[in-house]
Amino acid sequence: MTTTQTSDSPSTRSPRAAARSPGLIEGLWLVKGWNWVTSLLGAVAILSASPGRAAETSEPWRVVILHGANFFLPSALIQDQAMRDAVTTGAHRRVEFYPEALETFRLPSANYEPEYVALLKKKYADIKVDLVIAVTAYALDFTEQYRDQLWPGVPVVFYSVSEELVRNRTFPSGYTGQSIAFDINGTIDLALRLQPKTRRMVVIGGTADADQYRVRHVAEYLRTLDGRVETRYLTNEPVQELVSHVQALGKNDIVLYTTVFRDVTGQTFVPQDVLRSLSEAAGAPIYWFMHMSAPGPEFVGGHLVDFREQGRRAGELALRVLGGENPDRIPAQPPPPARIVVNARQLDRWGIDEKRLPPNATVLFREPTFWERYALSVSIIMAIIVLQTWLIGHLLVQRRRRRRMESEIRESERRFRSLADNAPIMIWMSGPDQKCTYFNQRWLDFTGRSLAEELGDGWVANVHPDDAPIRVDGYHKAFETRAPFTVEYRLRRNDGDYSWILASAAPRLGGDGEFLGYVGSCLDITDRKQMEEVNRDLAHASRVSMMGQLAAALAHELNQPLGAILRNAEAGEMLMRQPQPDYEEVNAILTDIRKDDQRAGAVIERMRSLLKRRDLQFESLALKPLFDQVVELVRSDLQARQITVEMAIPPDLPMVRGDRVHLQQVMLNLVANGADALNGNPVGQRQLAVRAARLNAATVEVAVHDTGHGIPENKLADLFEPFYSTKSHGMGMGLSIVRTIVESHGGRITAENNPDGGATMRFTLRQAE
Amino acid sequence: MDTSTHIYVAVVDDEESVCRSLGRVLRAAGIQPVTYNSAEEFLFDQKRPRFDCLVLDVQLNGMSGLALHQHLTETGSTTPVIYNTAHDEADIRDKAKQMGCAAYLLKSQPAEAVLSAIHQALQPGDTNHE
Repeated sequence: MTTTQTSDSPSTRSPRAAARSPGLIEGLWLVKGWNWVTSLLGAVAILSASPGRAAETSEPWRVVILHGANFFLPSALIQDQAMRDAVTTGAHRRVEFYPEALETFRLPSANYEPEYVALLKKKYADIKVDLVIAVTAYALDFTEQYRDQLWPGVPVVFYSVSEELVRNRTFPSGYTGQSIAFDINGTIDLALRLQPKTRRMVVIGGTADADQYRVRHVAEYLRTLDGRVETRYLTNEPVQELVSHVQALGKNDIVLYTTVFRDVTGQTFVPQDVLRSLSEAAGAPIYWFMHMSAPGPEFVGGHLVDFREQGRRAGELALRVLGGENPDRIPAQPPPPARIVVNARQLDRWGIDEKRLPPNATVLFREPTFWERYALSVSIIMAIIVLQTWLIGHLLVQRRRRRRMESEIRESERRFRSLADNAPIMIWMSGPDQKCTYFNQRWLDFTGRSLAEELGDGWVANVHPDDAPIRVDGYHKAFETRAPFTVEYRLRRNDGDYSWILASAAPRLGGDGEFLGYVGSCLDITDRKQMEEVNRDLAHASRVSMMGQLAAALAHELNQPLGAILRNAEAGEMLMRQPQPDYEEVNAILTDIRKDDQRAGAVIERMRSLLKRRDLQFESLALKPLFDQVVELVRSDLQARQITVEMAIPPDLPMVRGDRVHLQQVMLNLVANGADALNGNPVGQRQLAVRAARLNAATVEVAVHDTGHGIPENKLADLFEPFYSTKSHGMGMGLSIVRTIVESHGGRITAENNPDGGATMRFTLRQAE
Repeated sequence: MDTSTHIYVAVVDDEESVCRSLGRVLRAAGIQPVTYNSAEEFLFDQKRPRFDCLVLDVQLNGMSGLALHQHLTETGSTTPVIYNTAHDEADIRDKAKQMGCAAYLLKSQPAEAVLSAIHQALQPGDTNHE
């Protein structure tokens, strides 16, 4: 960059104080522009940049801006602003702009051009200009004519020069630029699209070269539309006439405005001012292709030139050239694309359906809605209202919820009491301190006590003393684990008797899961308990009867092989007694005997495995209730046989160690055996007696007496051997089982004949430790 | 003994070992036994000799000893019948005696009981019903 700088400026001149004035002027005229806020900011930036920013040592870039026309034209201002913004933002050093306006339209230059050129020459004689920016074709022409005189060798960047002109032009060395295009065709298309029913199009133009050039363009394009619309050209009319013509049109017509820089009378205009006059009076929608802005004239819309983009791109080109890039290497740039822009107010005015707009159209000046207009105020007010509403609502909801909760709690409490008091079970509650806080009516009815008596630990008084340890201790232990618990115990009824109670309790937990004690229910299960006993008895009975069946089956199974063995043995004996025994036959007999014997052994083994019911379960047993149950079981049978039973078991008899089921089996067998022995006795002499006594410190003896026929003396020793029976029915198994059981309990069993008739079976059992 | 070989006795018992062992006893006593495992087998034996005595078990597979006895009586047979059973049940014993059996014996009784019952049954006019 430094090198370029040196080559471009062979002589370095010291900047003069005067050099600063154009910057100030520039700032001032910018302030006059309508877009003054941006301009002012730009000016401030320029001014503030002057003393300090970039290097003090480096020269500023000096740029002459040569406007071909009035640079107060709105389009010119926009482009100029964008161009300068682009240059100053991108530049690494201070930039000084020197604006010049040729005013070609309004002030035809023919009369003063030589003097003007001379003036410029004098004006810029002492400063080094780094770049000339030519705006519009007029300025471009001017530079081509006078650059060598005014700013020899200084590069030129042009913009706002029609694309057609640029395309067909050969530039001298040092030229580059940004072309512009007016999308007249697109604007016509848009007009026809928005007003498809239109029949007539009026084209408004002026008499300046630029005006005529555009009208020719319009005509060329309309010709290609092949008479789709009738076209009328109003190009040679004074502006006043144009206004009245446009006024006479209908809303279905289309007015295509081009430019009127000069009318037929020779008067010059800012084209937008003419458009404004037309627009205010128009009886038909107007379309244009240049520029739409807020205080500008109103028209429906068109494919508009993006002047800001035009300016910005020109600025970037200027920056590249200032930066040392060779402009000859930079081709003239194609125009930026047109933007489809429409005015919402105009669409409304002419009743044009917005749906007809192409999708990429920008709609400006939409009537702000109430919301858009007062968004902030409305938002704040709404926010406050919403907040207040929410607050009030929240408070109301909370209050209602609290009330509902309170009433729900009361209701739930009431429901619970009513439910609990009417429940068919006893219900109680306790606090975390284990003290009972509630008993339902059923409980109070059951115990016949008052609530006051039961509360706290009062209820314990009615628990059966034997069960108190289980019940009361279990209750207290539960409070340590806080787990649900179930316990059975006896509770005294209002009539003084005890009932079996099944108590189930679950911990009560508060909303936060804290332990509040227990709630429990109690069921009177006395009936169930009794049922259980009955069921036990029934099971017992069926076991016993099975024993009998097994014994009968055993007898049957054994009789066959035994009978065959007997016969074979006898046949063997008979054969052996013969003078010449048939040894072969004897041998066969012996084989058969062995086989039958093995068969009998297999039968016994099978029976034994059937009889082996379960392992012995020893516990401490009171004999009286144990044997009472047995006698109860066979009582009806004995009564039918008119046998009386005397139970003589002293209440202070020590507990014994034994298996409950097996001992009952022993008793059942002995009772059944004794009863059988009484069969032959006359009625009135059929008596059984069960007696028990403590034999010594460790042993209890039980005896079963009968008054029957007694036992043959020679059979007494074999009585307890398996399969022995004095009876014709094969129940011989009974007494051998009895002996097995007694011996497995560590006892002994004996049989003896009574001196006064009948027999007695005695067996011993060990006392419980 | 040899004089007895012309005595034919049928043994009907569903226990093969009983048939065999009793048959041996009878043979040893000079009696010619023919054994059958069921009443049906006995009835359908085409070569059935003219028996002097029948020894029947009560419980048989199929037709029982009592039913066979009844059938034979109804068809005009007068062959003496001795029951030889493992079960001493009073009502069966009663029924057997009602039907006119020569003897009602248990298998646990000694062989002499069977042999003497057979010989008694063969002595005409002497119908000891015990």
